[in-house]
Amino acid sequence: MDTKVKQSQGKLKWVGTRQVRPDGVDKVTGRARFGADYSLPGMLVGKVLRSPHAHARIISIDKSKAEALDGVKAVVSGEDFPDIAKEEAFIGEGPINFRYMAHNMMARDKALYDGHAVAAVAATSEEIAQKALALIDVQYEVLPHVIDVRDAMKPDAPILHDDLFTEGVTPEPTRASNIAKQVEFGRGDPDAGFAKADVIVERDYSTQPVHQAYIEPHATLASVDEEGKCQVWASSQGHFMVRAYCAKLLGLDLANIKVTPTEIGGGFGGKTLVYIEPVALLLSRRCSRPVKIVMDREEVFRSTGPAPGSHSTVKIGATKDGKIVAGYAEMRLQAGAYPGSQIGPAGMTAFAPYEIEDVKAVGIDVVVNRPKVAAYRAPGAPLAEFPVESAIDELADKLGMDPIEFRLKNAVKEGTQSCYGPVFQKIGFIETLEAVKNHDHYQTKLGPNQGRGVASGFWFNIGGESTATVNVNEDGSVVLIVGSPDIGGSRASLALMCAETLGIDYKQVRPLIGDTDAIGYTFLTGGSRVTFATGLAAIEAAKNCIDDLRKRAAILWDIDVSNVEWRDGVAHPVDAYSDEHEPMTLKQLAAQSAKTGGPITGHIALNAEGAGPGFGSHVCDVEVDPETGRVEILRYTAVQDAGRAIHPSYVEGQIQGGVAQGIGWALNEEYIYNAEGRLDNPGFLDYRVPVCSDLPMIDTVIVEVENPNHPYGVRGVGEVPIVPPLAAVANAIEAATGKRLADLPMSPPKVLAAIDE
Amino acid sequence: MARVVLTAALANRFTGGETTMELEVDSVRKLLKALDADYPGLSEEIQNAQLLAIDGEIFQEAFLQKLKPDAEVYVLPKLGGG
Repeated sequence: MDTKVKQSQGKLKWVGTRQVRPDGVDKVTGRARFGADYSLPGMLVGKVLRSPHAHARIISIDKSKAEALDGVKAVVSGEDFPDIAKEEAFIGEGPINFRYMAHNMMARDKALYDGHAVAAVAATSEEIAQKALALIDVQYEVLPHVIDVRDAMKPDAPILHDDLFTEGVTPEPTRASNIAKQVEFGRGDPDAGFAKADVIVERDYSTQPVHQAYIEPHATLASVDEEGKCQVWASSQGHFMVRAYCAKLLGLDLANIKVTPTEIGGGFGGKTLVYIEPVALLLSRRCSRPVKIVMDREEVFRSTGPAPGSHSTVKIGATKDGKIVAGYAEMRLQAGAYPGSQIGPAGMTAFAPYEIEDVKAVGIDVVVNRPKVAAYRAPGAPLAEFPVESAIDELADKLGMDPIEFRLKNAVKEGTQSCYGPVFQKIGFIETLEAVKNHDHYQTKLGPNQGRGVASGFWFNIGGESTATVNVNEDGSVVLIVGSPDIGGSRASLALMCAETLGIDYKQVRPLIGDTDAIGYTFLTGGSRVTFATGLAAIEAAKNCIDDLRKRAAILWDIDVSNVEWRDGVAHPVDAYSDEHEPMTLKQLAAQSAKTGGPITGHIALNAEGAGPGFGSHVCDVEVDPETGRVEILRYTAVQDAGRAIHPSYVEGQIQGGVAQGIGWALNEEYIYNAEGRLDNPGFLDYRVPVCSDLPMIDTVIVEVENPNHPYGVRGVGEVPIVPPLAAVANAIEAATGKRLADLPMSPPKVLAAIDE
Repeated sequence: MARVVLTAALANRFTGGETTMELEVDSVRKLLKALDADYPGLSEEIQNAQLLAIDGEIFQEAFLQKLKPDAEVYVLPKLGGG
């Protein structure tokens, strides 16, 4: 692994170093408390009954037998939840329609997918809860279902929602359909652009829905007291998001809900929604006892949101000298049972790495009888950039150009107008391509049945609202409280930035994640925002703390605060007073804080803007077994512009994790639905994610083109690395076999069929 | 004059298909007010579900931003992440 500093930055003591993570020992010793580890006296077990049908009208639900079972304390179904009107809001990872969210959490008149929640119980034991579920009598009228996005768009397809009319098309449709929305982005005139092209590549591509495959299933503990005050412990990517959604879906006063974040065993976007939290709260309210619900793995697969699958048509044209002159993409995304797949980001990211004058990307949101999709790293981007990066490779091949040189010739840079509109500011895409080109990997010789593929990826990165408090203890140690759940080592990176700013030892900073009553509102952990935005909050809170420390020194020295400077964790009097006063350390100032006004603290609440876009370029070597079609990843190198790697090990970990997930998306992962629309592989034995033995060591190169909008130059890093692997692997397979695979996953039967064509 | 560019979907919904407009405004507040006067509901939609990219920089919340005389403002769907 290699860190290349492209930009001279001031000498920093802690930022950029590899310190031990504060939560590391607890996690490796089993002391860390995840969602399922919480319990309360008198706690009940909550269980959810799920539809066995892909599409069915719920005729009736008779709960009486379950309610009569000894040990059952509460039984609820859709009729027990408030009726929520259609209302769009942006609280979590994307636009949310509360009515759809409410119905996804608990079905009302129709069950729309295998695994859709239809009722729930709270009982004194798991066994009794399971028995109670079996006693709930649900009468269904089974309806025809549709699983595939192309089938769902056909005029005679079974309709999921009678009141769903396509948005974004003219004329406005008069008939309900499964096509929820159409959006388009672009500029210029693609037809005119294609007329200038010497070479055109056009192809259909498909990707499958894939699960985020977080290790920890969803888990929550909820308790409602006699006064209606609610407490929730939940494994999520945002406890403020959990609070807001629970309040909305249950019609509760937000001020009466306190949510405590637990440690989280992975999320990757999949824990930016609620599924069981409102259910546990309602059960608890019904029986006045705490209720814990823990999903099993089968429930996770059957009922929680994967990334959408897609079927796309992509066309790109270039001139003989290797200049891309036109691009067109139409991407049909599976939203699952309710509208809301990531067609916006898909449309904006598809061609984002390239400068194209005449370009258009269309995104179409289509409902099918599958679980409602959720975010997954760079939501929408992998399935949009896979076809484009495949077509780019094909074009380079037709033009006889090296695929990196072809990308370099068309790469966006500072000042280039993006395909979705705005002009790029300072970005590091070209630097990532150059790093791949110059890497030893790119020169390594290949053997028989082996091939090399490259691909690039883009994600916007976001900022958003964050709050941070720095409290100085009486011994001079520091507690940093933030509102961002730590999914990828953010406590370490936030503590590093806080220590750097204060000028104290990293080990003197103890980072904590405050609950919703203890810290101000903080947007969820997602969009690669925490190190950037909450990092900015940690820095600003530390600066405010420094202002307080300077004031305290000024009081002790009886001079004006303007005559006190803070350097390397020490208050210094300016030259005019340096003979009269000795510098004071933070520890010394903390020890005298009672004299100077009480505890020393710094606080900030901000809405961070200016997240620098992220780019990555990957190179992958594969060997394809011509007898079985099995693809082995021989070498993989991922280069990414991180702006500034605050903790390089966690940047590398983010990159490696994203690559592993992208390789799984490329080669193995898919949901298998049978003829009845039931999921046949709801577990890790049959839903094949890559494991360590499947992959080589994934090499990483961190390029640092600083984000000018952050004091340490940070760009988000968690999203981009999942984008390039899909096409990098496909391009490598093409290089090894001469066959272009455009239908993911490229599992052995598909590869073998392509070879045997 | 600030140049404002809408997505086609937004334009179809609010402006009769007009994606580009020029407005004599020097702040996002004034821009939103001007848009709402000409296209009722557009300002509310922008504030609820859209973001603004002003001269290349994406603002998830641009309400307080000033605009240069020749500002280029793209209205795009709000972004989240995984």
